[in-house]
Amino acid sequence: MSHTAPTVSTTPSASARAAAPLLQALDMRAGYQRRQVLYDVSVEVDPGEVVAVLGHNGAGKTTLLKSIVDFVHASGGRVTFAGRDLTPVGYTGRVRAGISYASAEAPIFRDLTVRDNLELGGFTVPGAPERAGRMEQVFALFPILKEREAQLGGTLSGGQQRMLSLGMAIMARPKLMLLDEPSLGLSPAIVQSIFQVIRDFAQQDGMSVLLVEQNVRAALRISDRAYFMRAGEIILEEPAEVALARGSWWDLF
Amino acid sequence: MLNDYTADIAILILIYIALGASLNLLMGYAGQFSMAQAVFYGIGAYATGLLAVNLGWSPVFAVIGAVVVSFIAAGILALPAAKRVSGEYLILLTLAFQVVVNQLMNSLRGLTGGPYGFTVPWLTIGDKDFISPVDYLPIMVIGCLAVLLITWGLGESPFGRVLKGIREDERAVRALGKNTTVSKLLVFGIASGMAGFIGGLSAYYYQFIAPGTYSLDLSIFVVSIIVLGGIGNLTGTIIGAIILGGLRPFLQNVDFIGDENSYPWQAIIYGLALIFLMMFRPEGLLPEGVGISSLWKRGAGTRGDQAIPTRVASTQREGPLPAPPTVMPEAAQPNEIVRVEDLAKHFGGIYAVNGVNLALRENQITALIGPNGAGKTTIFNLITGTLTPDRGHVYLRGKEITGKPPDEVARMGMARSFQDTRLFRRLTVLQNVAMAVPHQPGENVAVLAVRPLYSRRMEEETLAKAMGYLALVGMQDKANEPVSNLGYGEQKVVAIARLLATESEVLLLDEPTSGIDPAVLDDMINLVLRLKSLGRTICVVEHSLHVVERLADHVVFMEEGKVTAEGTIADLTGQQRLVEVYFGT
Repeated sequence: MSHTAPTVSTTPSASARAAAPLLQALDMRAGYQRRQVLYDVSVEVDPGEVVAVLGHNGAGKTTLLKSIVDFVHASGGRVTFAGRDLTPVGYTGRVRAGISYASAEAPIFRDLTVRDNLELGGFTVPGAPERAGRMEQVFALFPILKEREAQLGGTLSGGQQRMLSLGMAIMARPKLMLLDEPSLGLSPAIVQSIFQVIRDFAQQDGMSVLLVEQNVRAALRISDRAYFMRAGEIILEEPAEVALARGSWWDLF
Repeated sequence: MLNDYTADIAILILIYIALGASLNLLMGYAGQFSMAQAVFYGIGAYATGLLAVNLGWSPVFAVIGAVVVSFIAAGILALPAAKRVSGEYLILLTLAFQVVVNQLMNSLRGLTGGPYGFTVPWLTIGDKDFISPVDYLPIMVIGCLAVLLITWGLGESPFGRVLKGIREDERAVRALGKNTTVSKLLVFGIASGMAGFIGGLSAYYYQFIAPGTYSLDLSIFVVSIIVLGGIGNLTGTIIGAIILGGLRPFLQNVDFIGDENSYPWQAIIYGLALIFLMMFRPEGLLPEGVGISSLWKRGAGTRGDQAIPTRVASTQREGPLPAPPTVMPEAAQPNEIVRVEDLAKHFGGIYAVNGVNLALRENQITALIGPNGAGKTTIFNLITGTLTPDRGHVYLRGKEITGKPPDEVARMGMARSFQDTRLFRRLTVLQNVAMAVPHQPGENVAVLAVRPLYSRRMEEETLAKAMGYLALVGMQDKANEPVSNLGYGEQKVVAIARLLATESEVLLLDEPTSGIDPAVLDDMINLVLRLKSLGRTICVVEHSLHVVERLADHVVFMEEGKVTAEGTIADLTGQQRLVEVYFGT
């Protein structure tokens, strides 16, 4: 290691965490053509836990999420999920296993209606009544989506599109939700409410969340634990309240 | 064996070779697509015929006239192409030109004789007549060799290097200080001038000119010769012309096919060849840079070692140092080299940059930091001329450079690197760096033609300089590797060497450390510090504050298109307001 990293503690389950993590991604390596982005990155998420991945632009946070769901194929490492080795399983298989991924760039289908978007979000859910029930739940969370249900996704405002993408992820009722910058381009008030929804889901339904965010403070407030990444490596892992107490994070960026 | 029949076929194939080679200069080297090669061939033939018949010009002058006319016609066609037309639009533009001019040959009866054409006298040099195919063959051989020689000579010269750069990434070529517009105009003119030259020679051979010869079919045929042989490979073009041009006569002489059935057979074979080519050799028989022996050697022509080297060579090795520009030792308050005043740019309703004032001081590293979308890269684009500002001024050493194009800004001494290297991927490391060396006589076609030896000598000097810059960054061992064989970290280092080779005193680095192996991060940081020690004035956009802390003498904090704080990194990180801007509330 050439650069000076602050207190590195990557030892898993050192704290009082559950014995069996829901997700265990071990020594992940991934990149784009010749450009390697992840260098042996390991993360764990426990059932019902909200975990934030923070760090400077280009540190590899998004690539980490994508490699966990095999949207970007990892060239090395293992992914174990709910006790099952998902390493040889592709994108589709991982979604069916219970991982969903909401990307920062194109979170919705712009040319489909709000309702169709939600139906597609619940594509892996068997049984129409079950899907209908979940859709009611989404509409209860985001009433604006109910009002706009016949509207094309692309005509929604940025904040509404974010809500829709979150709604799609909720439709799938995943065991683990990977969220890439849910606050991107949103006003602080909407960020607050969306983050509250995320937190509530984790608490009430035992859903786990792995969250990538630029808004460090807001992310830490709803998280249990945080990883800090720099230049493709994890440089620090600590409980969110400890990270929040730092007040500023210049030395980690 | 050599009789009038075989000589006639040979002449036809030579014409195809020459048309293919000249078009390959345009398509293969410069990456500019043209569907009008047949019509330039025709313009040459018509010009020669008309000058010889109507004005009684001697053959030599008539052919020279043909070259000039097709050169100028191509220049007119290429004017929009050189400025901004490219890709599909260039195909459409040249296609329209082909069809319109071919139609004019039909309809301008008074001048061209309309669809029936007109006859041209046979070639007489001294008291020797060149009438029969056997007599004429040597003339065509010489003409075709001349075209091949010019194409090859230009393609392998510094001018050709700029063309290849345009093909790979035109914006990067401009960022290195090269005027790509003139090069594109010239290559259009030269490729078409050579087609016109062959057209002139063919006019004396066929002694008859009619529009049907110069139709779109022939243009498509010439393109298919290049595609079959391999784009950017002259040997491939020769092979392609022999195969495609020789097929019909060959079929006509096969007993069970005969003359009348040769056409359907030819169509079947073309179709099969197309399918097999797409399946097995989509880059053509001979891809660029591949020798003819690859046709029978298995595995030849495949790319080199694909392993990803993860270590950047040590940057500590000493190379021949280029003389740094004048250095001011007094560090108290160094001179402003670049001054930016009230710069603004909006996209739609949003100001990406809104009233920025900025100074880059001599022999200092200034870092631009700030949250995503603060306008940092837009600043680079504005001060290097990639974007034109809505208002404000940029001065380089007191001279206003606002709104000047990027190549001119680079020649004046300010060059930038790109976040994603933008190296010329199919060129070697050395060629990438050599492209950036300023003042190369060999980039000027006139100098190449008039003083070939001088150009060659200067090219050796250019390559030596490029090698020096590679040694400076510790990459001389990789000089002859194609860039695509290098690991990403190594590519980043080559991009720095290429930037240095512009000899600019102000270097703008867009995220120099993003995407490189953390294990060699220190090497890259040391390399940037080394640039400073060479007397360069540097500005970096960098997201890793850890890197900024080690590099920057002066840090500028941007948010929402404005500079809201400046100072040392310690000054900035001490401000609570900036914590909130950077890390959210």
